[in-house]
Amino acid sequence: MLDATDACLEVRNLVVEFPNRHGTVTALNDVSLQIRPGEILGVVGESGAGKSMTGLAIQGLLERPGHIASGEVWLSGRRIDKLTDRQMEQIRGREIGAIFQDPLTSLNPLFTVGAQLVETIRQHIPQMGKQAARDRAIGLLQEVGIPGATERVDHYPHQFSGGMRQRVVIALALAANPKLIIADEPTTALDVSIQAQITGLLRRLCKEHGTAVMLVTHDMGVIAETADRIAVMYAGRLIEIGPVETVLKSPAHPYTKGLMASIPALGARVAHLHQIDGAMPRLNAIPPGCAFNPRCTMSGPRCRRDRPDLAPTGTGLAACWLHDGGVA
Amino acid sequence: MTANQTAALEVSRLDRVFDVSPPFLNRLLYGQKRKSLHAVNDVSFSVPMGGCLSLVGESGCGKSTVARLVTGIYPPSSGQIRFAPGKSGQPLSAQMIFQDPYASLNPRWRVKNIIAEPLRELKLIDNDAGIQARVAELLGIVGLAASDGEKFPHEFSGGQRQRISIARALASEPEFLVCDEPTSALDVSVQAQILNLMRKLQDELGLTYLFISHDLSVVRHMSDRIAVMYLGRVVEEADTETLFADPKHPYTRLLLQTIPNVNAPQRNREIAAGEVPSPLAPPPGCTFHTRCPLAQPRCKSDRPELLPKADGARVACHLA
Repeated sequence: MLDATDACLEVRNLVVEFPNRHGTVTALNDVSLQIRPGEILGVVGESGAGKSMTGLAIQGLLERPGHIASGEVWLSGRRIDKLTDRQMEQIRGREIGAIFQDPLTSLNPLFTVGAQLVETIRQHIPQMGKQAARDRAIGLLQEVGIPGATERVDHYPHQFSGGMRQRVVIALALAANPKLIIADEPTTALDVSIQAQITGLLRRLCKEHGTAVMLVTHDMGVIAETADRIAVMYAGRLIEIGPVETVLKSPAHPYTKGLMASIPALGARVAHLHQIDGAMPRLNAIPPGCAFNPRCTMSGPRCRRDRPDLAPTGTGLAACWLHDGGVA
Repeated sequence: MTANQTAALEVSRLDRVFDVSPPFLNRLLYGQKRKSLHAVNDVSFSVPMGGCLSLVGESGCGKSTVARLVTGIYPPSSGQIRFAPGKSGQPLSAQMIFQDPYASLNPRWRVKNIIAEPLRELKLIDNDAGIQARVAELLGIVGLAASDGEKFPHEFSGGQRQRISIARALASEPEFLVCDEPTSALDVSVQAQILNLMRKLQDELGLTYLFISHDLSVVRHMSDRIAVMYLGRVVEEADTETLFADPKHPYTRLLLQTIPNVNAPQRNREIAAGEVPSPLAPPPGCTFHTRCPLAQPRCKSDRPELLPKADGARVACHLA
């Protein structure tokens, strides 16, 4: 593992809780991860596993009454989880860029894309003049591959197609040259042929600018094409993390194995797809021990008793007793 | 797959035009013109009895419109839709499974009433005890417990809700199911459960599927034959194995190329540029020529016909 000084983002033992009338729901439980500059970390999991929650917690955007109950978030050597809302506003956009799922709702329909880019640039780099900011806006649009950027800068969001809008959103996220970009399902609303264009663009920009990217998605294909490392989440916990080739080709955790096997292969056609029976438990009814044990085909008595922590598996880490002293 | 040669559904020269004109006053005061959207343009295909034909394409290509035309939700502008006679001698009865199991189930109804609705509406069973027994049986067929009938849709996960939609679709004992993106709102591990269930039901009940999806890996798993649509037209139709082994239309090749492959990620590949043109103003000639790497001058003026090839495929391309 790396030192805190190398990592652009470091999350240590993050716990997010939502108190309600019936008690407290733990939405994220003991999540730790690091991302190096220029690295893309893919975060996968089913809906409700806590992958978007991790992104929101890092950006300080948790909706009340949700809050960080314990743990730390460090961005380039600075602790950011205890900052005030005012201070976080300085960090969002300037140091952490965000790309959301639906490019239409993340742009203001009443302003031209140029006006939105100029506003973002001048907000975060106040010393830049209006004309310089406009030139930078055009430069950004060119960089994200929008043809005819000098004219398109004065168009409104509705005049762009879905894929082009997502490019504008990426330009906005890059506007202040952030150290980290959190991309939450950036390709889910797009068509397959456009998806590949956007993931390719994201990968190129991240390598060129040395930006760390946290790519949150449920699509294993997108992760395989884009990420350097993969973090797999299940019921609010990180259950496996490792280099992309290892996690995809020889996953260590039984959940990751099942997930990989349930994707219809493009090669040979099989009569029956592998399936993981049951569904992920709700966050207010997580079973004791390993949260995956009721669906796991390899579970033993220890899995129902004790909760496994991340343990080394060779090239990565997995939270499973199979890799940490046996299930008996 | 055992699909014999008779067609369960034959669609020929199907057209559907939507009127998307501005309101009357806008036309009168601002001189705006009438506009029409040719959503489905001269589409012909046939679905083999007991088999599965998939329609594939990007958003706006007309695949969902075809589904709605086949089930009679929209009337066609022209063309014919013919169902073969089923077991009863009447044309096959069709039902539909929708994409979003969160939107297609009434949140205020108990599951047993949702599933019983077609039985009551179509007066298939006229006593309450019979309806209850049939609902319990249907819940069992899709892998839910009979006691789940008392619950409301919000108590179920996405995959379980899709099982409820399937149970409702099966209530009237249809022989033909139109499935419009049935798994695209689901997580992968749950998607596999639903696809396995659909294959099992096909074998047990002898169902014929018209399957609509944009996900080629799902389509490959489910279907016997695939029709690729682009801007309202079928550009290629072939048996599943033929289409994947030897795609002939440049658009099919583009689609196959862009599928992310989990087992062999292609990191630094060249991505075909361009986007789907607006269906309000489709390009002349071959509608794909604006994005086609092989386009010739002829493609800009002449529209290629869908012509049969030696291996049973049908392709609409001058160069194939």
